[in-house]
Amino acid sequence: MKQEQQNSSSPNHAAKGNSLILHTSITYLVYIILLLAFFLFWHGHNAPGGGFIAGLISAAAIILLYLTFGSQWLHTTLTFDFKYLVAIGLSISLACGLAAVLLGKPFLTHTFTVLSISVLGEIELATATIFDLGVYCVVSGGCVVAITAIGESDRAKRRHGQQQTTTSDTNTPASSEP
Amino acid sequence: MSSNQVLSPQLIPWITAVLLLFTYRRVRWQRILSGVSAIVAVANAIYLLYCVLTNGTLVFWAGDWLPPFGITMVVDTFAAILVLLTALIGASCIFYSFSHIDMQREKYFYYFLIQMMLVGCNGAFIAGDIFNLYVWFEILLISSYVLLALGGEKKQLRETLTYVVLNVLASSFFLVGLGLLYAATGTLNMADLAIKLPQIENQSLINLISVIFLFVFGSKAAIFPLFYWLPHSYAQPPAAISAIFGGLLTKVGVYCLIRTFTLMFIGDSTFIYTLLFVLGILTMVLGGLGAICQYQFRKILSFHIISQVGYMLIGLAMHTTLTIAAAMYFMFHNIIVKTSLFYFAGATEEISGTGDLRQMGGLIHRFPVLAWGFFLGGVSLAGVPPFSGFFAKLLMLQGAAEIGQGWAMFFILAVGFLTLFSMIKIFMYCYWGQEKTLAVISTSGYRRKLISPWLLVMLSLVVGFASTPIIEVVLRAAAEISDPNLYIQAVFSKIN
Amino acid sequence: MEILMAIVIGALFTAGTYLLLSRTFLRILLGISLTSHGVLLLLIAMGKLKNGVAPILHEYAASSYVDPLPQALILTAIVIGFGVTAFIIVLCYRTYQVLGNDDTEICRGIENE
Repeated sequence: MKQEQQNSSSPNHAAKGNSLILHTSITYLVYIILLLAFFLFWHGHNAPGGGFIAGLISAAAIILLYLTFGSQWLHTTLTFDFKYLVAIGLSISLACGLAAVLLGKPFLTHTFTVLSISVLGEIELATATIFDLGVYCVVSGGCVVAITAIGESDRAKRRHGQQQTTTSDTNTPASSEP
Repeated sequence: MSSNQVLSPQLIPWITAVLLLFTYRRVRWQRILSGVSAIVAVANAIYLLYCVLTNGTLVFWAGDWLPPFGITMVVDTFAAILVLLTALIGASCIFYSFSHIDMQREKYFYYFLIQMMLVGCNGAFIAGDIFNLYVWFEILLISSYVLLALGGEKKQLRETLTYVVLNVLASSFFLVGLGLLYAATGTLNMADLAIKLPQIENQSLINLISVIFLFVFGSKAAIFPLFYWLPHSYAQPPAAISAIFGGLLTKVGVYCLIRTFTLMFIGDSTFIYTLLFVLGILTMVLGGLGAICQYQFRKILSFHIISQVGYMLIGLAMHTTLTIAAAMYFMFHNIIVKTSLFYFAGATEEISGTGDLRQMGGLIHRFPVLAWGFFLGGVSLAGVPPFSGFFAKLLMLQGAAEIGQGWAMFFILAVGFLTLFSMIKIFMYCYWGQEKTLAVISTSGYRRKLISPWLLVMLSLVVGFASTPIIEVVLRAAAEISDPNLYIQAVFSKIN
Repeated sequence: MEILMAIVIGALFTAGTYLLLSRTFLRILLGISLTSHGVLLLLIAMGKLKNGVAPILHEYAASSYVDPLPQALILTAIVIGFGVTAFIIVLCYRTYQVLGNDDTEICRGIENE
């Protein structure tokens, strides 16, 4: 029983079986995945792409990290509470809609403007992008919260399972509101 | 711009929900925020109803996109009354929860979920676009799934699983119905559909689609063959949750039935109204009979939800202005009274430590306020004057007599007796008679718990005494509903 | 193309229904996802299938675009379906943990516990 406890409290518990190749490559791959997410996000407002899939892809990146290095690592390195990311995202989208109300337009009225910067050429800036940023935060935050919740409960169960203590923390996490 | 006012009943709980997410670790803050927002929501809903009564139907065009392309939100009298009741029930539920829901749940986004459910309810009531209705339905349902599962007790989880699977299936059929509607007409705006659906030559196709929608809304409203999930799943979670479910959720389904079958599917209506009538009668009778053989407090109440949905259905099926008004009045009365009865059930179960009527008894000696409160609510539900339930049934009987529906009148009265029987049964078993020694008696904070249900019972009494002006408003709402042209004109008013 | 679509939708519904009627949580979950995918395909088919340009405004003639509405509907439905599926997975897993079994038949047996 003592050995079991030691096992579960040691870092990289979930990552024990993972290969060196995965460990090494993930550290680089994550940046590429995040870059892809950023590209899709930026591309999104006038072409296929957008906040939702960008959010999914970034969540995938974080979940890959989680799978490779284990939840212990994730807790010590990424101390940020992803539930707040959902809250921030929701408030960005809501604020974007409410801004139109303050200006006397119907809720969620969008507008855009074209900026021309000498080096970069013409850039189209739309308020829809701000809304999309909110979507991005909600989706990526929600995914990470949901998946870590499943993982955490499993870990808690394994830790307590041997000592026949029932898991008291059986609350289901809030599902990501679409 | 004033059209944003239409969205206000949704924006208030929505903003609150976001704030609640930020403060999810602090229960105290959560309580204050939810309480304040509940009061603001009630005040706002009253003002909205006032505006609708003075200015007529209000319409909101999201992002300034005009119908039939953009999303529209429409508040007519019917929707405005329901928004007000949603706010009232939401407020009562939040205040009841302060002394009823345990900290564990409060920390796990309980208030957030309640607010999201209110967003979904209000959205469903004011949606003017059938796909938008689907989205609000989903928001409502997802919150309800989580609320049902919150706490994670064995029975609860099992019932939630059934509830979720059935509702997801029903939602899939909702999408199928939407797809078929779109293929048939090329639009999903409800006002536009109301114009285009009667023009379609192949009306049997429209009947088919309407039956799909009947299945979808019927399974949420728990009508005859689709009610099997309701009694078990509503009896499991804490009373505050089952109260808001029993009071509001099924009524959203009934609302959608009334809305779609008076606005859109009216081309070849004999078939569908006959079907609704038969289903309504069966729902009434089976719900009433189901309650009789139960001994679990909240299961009896849940079976009566089903039976009362039947009343609303036959009101809709007889489709005169008077019977639709009766169905609406019944709905409003039922939302108020049913919720209060669930609160009383929750308080009783906490005191006696059991939900089984046979183990209770004589509670009236030590808890008279509780017992008499339940008694008043129960007789109101059964339709004894001067409570609101009496006038609801009276209107319904008048409407049925007007078109000579003898069977409807017979069943309205017969099921009324069944309801009275069940309520008296609960009262006799649980409160009256010899005091039984109960294993667990926890009386902590029991008086505070009775504030919300007593206020609702008083509201039922007020609705009963002030029935003349209220029936006028309801008749006006029914007249608006009976004439789809008013709705269509309001939605397209910005173009013309 | 429509006929092929109809066959695929029918197959998805059949498989989904079959799985929904089985007894383990995971199969029910898969049944739900298959059914909802069938519904999504149905929505595409309802918007009239054609070889058109993606409905993002360029210089093409108006008739060459495909109908954007079903796509918007499907995107929304996918998002909602994603949230619901995530929830059901968690729910099934918790139920499995608490009850120690994933057989609906056995779960029903604890009625009078």
